[in-house]
Order: sequence, then C-alpha cells, then structure tokens
Amino acid sequence: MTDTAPMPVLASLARDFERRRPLAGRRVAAALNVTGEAARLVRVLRAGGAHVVVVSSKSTTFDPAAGREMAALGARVLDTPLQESDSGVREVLDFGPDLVVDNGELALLWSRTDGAPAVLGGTAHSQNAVKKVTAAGGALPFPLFSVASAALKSAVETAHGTGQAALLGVLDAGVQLAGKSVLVVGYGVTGRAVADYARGCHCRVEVAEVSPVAALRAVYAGHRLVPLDSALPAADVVITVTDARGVLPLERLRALKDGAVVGGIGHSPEEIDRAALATAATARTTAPGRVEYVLDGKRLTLLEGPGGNHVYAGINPPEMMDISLALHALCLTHLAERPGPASASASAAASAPERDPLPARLLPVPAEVEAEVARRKLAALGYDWPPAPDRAASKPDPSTEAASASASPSAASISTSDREAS
Amino acid sequence: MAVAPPEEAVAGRPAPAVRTQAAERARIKLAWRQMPVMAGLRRRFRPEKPLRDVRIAAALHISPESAHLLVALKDAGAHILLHPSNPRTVDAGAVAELERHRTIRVLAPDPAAGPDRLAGQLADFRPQLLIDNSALLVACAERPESAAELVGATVHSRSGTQTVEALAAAGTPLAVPVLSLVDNPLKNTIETPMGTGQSTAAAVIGATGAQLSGKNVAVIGYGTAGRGIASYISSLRARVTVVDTSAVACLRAAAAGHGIDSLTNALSNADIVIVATGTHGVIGGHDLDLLRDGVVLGNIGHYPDAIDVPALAAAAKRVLSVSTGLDEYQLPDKSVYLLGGGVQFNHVCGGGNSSEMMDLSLSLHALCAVRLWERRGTLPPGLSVAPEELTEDVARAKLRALGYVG
Repeated sequence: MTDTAPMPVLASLARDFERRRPLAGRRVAAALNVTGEAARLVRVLRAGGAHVVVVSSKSTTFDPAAGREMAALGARVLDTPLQESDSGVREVLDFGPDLVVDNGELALLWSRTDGAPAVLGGTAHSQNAVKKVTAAGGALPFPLFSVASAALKSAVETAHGTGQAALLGVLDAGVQLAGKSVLVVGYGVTGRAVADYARGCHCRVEVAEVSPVAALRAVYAGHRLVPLDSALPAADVVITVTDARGVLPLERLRALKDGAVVGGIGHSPEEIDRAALATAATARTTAPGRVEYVLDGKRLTLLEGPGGNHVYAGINPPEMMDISLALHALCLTHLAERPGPASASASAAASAPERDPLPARLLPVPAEVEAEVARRKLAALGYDWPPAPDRAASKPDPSTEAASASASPSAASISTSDREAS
Repeated sequence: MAVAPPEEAVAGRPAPAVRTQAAERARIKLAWRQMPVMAGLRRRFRPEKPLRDVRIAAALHISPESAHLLVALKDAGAHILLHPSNPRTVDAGAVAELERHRTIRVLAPDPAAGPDRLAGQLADFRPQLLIDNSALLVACAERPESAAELVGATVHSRSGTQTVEALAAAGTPLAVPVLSLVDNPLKNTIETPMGTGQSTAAAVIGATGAQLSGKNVAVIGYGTAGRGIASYISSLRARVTVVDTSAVACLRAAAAGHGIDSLTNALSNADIVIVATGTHGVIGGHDLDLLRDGVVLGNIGHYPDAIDVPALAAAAKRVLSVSTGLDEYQLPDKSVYLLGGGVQFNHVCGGGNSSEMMDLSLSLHALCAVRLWERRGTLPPGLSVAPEELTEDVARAKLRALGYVG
C-alpha cells in the first residue's frame, strides 16, 4: 500500500483531530497488524494527541516499513506479539494505557494480571478477539466496542471488500472465472461475500456448510448446497471460509481435479493442511501469492498471502479498511470524551443518565459513531449527506421542507433487525 | 375536490369471485403443499399429541398459511381461539377451512369492537399459551384473570416484544416466558428479504403489467424488507434508487450498487415508488407535485398512513379502479397509480409472502409452543429469543424438503 491509497475517512479524521485534539494526553495501547493501513490509524490517534504503543498482532504480517512509519509518527512499536514476549507485557503494563485497540490479547492480559492499571475501555477488531477472551473464562476487564459486529464492517467492508479481494486472488492465478464451478466452504459473513462475488463473475457457485440455518440461507440465495466430499472432485476453485481447522486435509486435497485452484481465508492457519501438502507434493512457486504443487500427478494451485500467510485475501482494499479503522478511532474518542468511573460524580450522573459508566462487556459500536463514519464515507463517494434535493427551488414554503425532513422515513424500526447471524 | 377512494382499495384484499367450495379447498391445499415443514410437524403431532387439551389463543392474519399452523396445533391436541389480527386480511377460504375443525374457534372480525371485547373473550377462554402480535398480551394485562393459567407465549412482531418490555418497565412484568421470533435468523435473513422481495416485485408486475427492466424504482427505507426489495427489483434490471435517513443504511445501499438520493429527487425521477419503512407519513400531499405523470406508488410498510391517501384523494378530480388493488388518481396535471389502497400492497395485490417462506416462521411458532408447554415451570419468565436448536430443526426440515439430505 502506498501513502496515496484512498483512505478518505481516516484522512478527514486526521485533519479534524489535529484541530480538536480529542485524545490529548490519552494513552492508547493498540494490538494491530503492523501494516501501512494501520499506520494511517496511528496517524489519526497521534493527531488527536494520544500517546501510542503498538503491539504487533502477528509476526507474519509485520511490515517493517509500516513499523518505521509508525515510529516516525511518534508511536512506540513492539514487533513481537504479547503472547511471545514477557518484556512486551511489562512494557504495556508500565505504559498504563487508558484505551486499547484489542485483538483479544490485551483484555486477556488485563483479566490475568492483578493490579493492572485501570483502562477506560477499548475496541475489538475481530470476532476472534472476543472469542479468545470468553474462551479463557469469560469476564472482560473493561468495556470493549465490537467493531467486528458493526453493520458497516460486516455488511459493507467484509461483504464487498473481502468479496472482491477473494475473487481477485483467483483472477491473479490466471483463471477465467466465467462458467467455472467455485466451491465455497463455509457460509458466514465472509462466505456469503465470496459466493456473491463469484456469482457476479458468472461462476457456478456451490456451497458446503454445516449449520442448517446458514445452509438454508445459501439455498435461498440461489446457490447449490453440496456435501463437501462429493463436490471436491468437480470443483475448479475451492475457497475455504471457516473457523475450523482441518477442513482440507491431504486426503481431500488428493480428491481435487487436475488444475484446481485452492485458497483459504478463514481464521485458522490449519484450515488447509499446507504442511502435509508440502511434504507429499513437489512445489514450485509460480508467482507471488500462489504455489503450484504436483500431487499424485495432478497440478494444484494453492493461493497464499504475502510472506506465505495462510490467508490469501486477508487484506481488504485500503478503501474498505478505511471503514473499520475509522470506527476504532471514533470509538476511542467516544470513550475518552465520556467521564470515567473516577469522575462519575453525583452531578454528572444526575445531569446525564446515559453517561452511566459503561459495563465491562462487549458492546455494540455506538450508533452515532457508525453514522459518522458512514457520512464521511458517503462524502468521499461523492454523496452529500443528507442527500440534498436538486429542486429545492420548487419547494415554495420552507416550513413544508422542514416538515418533510422530519417526516422523512427512518429505517430505524426495520433496520433494528440487521443483526445477522454470522 | 375530495373523492372517496373506491371500496376495494379500502377493504384491502377483495372478496374472491364466486368459487366452488372444492376450488377454495384446492387453493388452501396447494398452499399447504408448499409448507412441507408444517406438514412434517403435523405427521409427528397426530400420534404424539404433545399439546393434548392445551388452550391456545392466537392473534394472526387469517390466511391459508396461518390456518395450517392452527390445524397443526389442533393435530397436536390443542383447543384454539383465533383472533384475526387484521379484519382487512381475513381470507374467507381459510376461515371456511378452519370451521371444519371443532376445536378451533375463529372470532368474528369486528373492526368496531373495542379491546374490551377481546379481553372478555380471553377471560372466558383462560388461555394456557399465546401466539401473539401484541393484542392478546395487552388484553391479558387488562384482565389479569385471563392469564391465571398462562404458561407462555410466542410473539412475532416488534410491537409484541415492545409490549413485554413495557409491562416490565411499568412494574408489572409477565410471570411467564415469552419466546420472540422477531430477530430470528430464519425470518430476518430468509423469510423477510426473500419473501417480501419476491412478493413485492410480483405484485407490482401483476397489478400494473409494467416491464421493470429499465425503469427507475425508488425504494424508500433500506431495512431488512427494503434490502430484499431492492435486490429483487434490481435483478429484474430496474435501476434502484434508495432513500433512507440512516447514513449507515445508505452506505450499505451504495456499496450494493444502488443509487442513493434525497426523497425529493427520488420521487421526482421515479417511475415506481415503493415505501418500505416502519414509519408514518412518508409521502404527504406536498410531495404530489414532485411525482411524474403515470407514476406507480405503493406501500409495503406496516402503517397504512405511510402514504397520505386522503391527501391524494383530495387532490384528485377522479379516482378509477383499474384492476384489483390498483387505482388511478387523476390529478389536474397527471395520473398517479396507487397500489393496494396504500396498505401493504404485496398482500393486497398478491398473496403476500409465499407459503413456502411463511412455512419457516409458522413452523417455528408450533415448535416453540410445544417447547413452552413441555418445559412449563422451568423456563425463565420474560422475553427470550426462540431457541437456536428449534430454529435449526426448522432449517433442517426445510432442507430435507428441498431435496438436501442432512
């Protein structure tokens, strides 16, 4: 990613924050994939006046240039993930953050460490982050806004960013998509996106899914529901989009036809048994992003991410990552601008009942934060917000204009059902 | 000059032309064929009788599909009192079908009767289970003796869950469990978007004969229903412009490839306008100036006053009934074609959501009713969502019926 890649919402936030300084003096610990996009978030936080410590989420995604960029912005960058570094743990605790951007490790650290400094709250950027904490025994040590469950993240960023990226990865392998059969394994938020974009590319889409509700959804979206094992031999392209490991072990890879293209974008590095494949087959890297194997005399192309990452299309277009990273920034300012538990004085409590301390659990991103990001994104797409009538002149009476605005439809009551099963 | 809208438009679904009883039964039975999950439940309930002699009060639109649910509950052994939730949507053939069953009593729809009448009927019936939109819960709250033997309720509308919350907030919480189907994924991600999307597109074409491809269609409101409608309409090659007050909804629409615009611009440019909001007063008299000559206007939202029909009538020189559920309002400078008299036109001009889709939520009601009865006394009181395993049972049965084994 270059400095000119379009991330207009973050750019506009950086300008505003420089003026407004909503994070002045705040300490932010952020567990992030150290990438060029994340550096844009760090720029926004720094512009807002925050002291920032970045902890690399994954060693495999660490981009040294991005690390240097973050350091140049005045952030301290720890290049080793917390679970591998005791000195990193000490440094984060000594730093004493008020706010966190979490992948799960920070909340875990706090729930395990007695006497850790108080944190106002934070943001979680994947469902996985939340699972990590709840799997380890439950209670969150501070309120966390779940950016992962925001409608903008699932219904816009993932549905379109990941959908496009997943198909682009296949195109890069030189496959003509039209008329091919694409087998999508797993039909959650991301699987739906992949299936939808594959159909848009005139593929025959097949879906393998274990949950009956998700499977029914695939059927009624017009896809063909198939049992995984019987579908493998005929598939031209197989994309795994699950939370599971061992989805494609070696024996299933052996079932694929000559010339098949396989890629994973699920959470687990063991979704596709790449290690067994590397042992059983001869490999040659044909280009960045794909390795061609010969297995039992059949050619098999495995898609992979930068640096051999198992996720071949994990990097959404910067234009889309702009959305979730902006949600992080505005959630943090939302937290910073609330009176903390210490200042929850009688007068503050009496004057604003909604300013009660936030509960220490996973919370939905505040509606006004999502709306703010959407407005800025719409502006970048060339839409005024709210959309202005071209023919305002034809409205003679300003009072009817106002009445029309107040009576204009709100989707609130029908959009409340937007919480879709992932 | 004020012109009263024609009779049919007000009455909603028109009385069917004279048909033989056999033809009416055939129509009901075809709908039931398209509800394989419910049919499977009936096969299971008949020998098992899981609701033997249980008294169930239900508030439902009376349709062939809801009749299938009630017959399934009867097959399970229940005695049923049915309150038509909307007198305009009563399907005479479905009523005739229900009257064949001794243990199902259908209350006569009476728009003039106040809530007292229902409260009195419930007090006499002493229901043990409710299948409700919200009317029954309200009536029980009014006459607490009605709920003396109540074990639980299922609710299928937002107003139902709001009633439960309001009772709790007022310090008189319900002492029984209430299972909500409102945010259920089968309903939210399949039944509403697919069902409403298809029925809306079909109703527009059926009532007007319009070719949708190439038309400008304004979809006002981009919630679950609006998204389904926009998706189906754009698949038929129309250009969709979405209007919504939420920036998040608009960004979603833009990312899905639809146009977004102000209400004023969208109304000015539309050949067809579909209101899909959950609000009142979306299109008022002052918006009529914006509309093109020949525009088709319809509402699928819950509120009949989303389009100001009286203002349209007041502006019209003449109103003609063009076809079932389609009226031409002749304004001095243009004609406006109104679908379904301003009430949910996908029901008025078509059969509403398909039987195949309604099979999902109605079957879930049946399973929830059995669950509430079998676990009576052990479930926590108050609102909770319909159990995931029952939702999965319905999905699995539907997949089997569609030919997928698993």
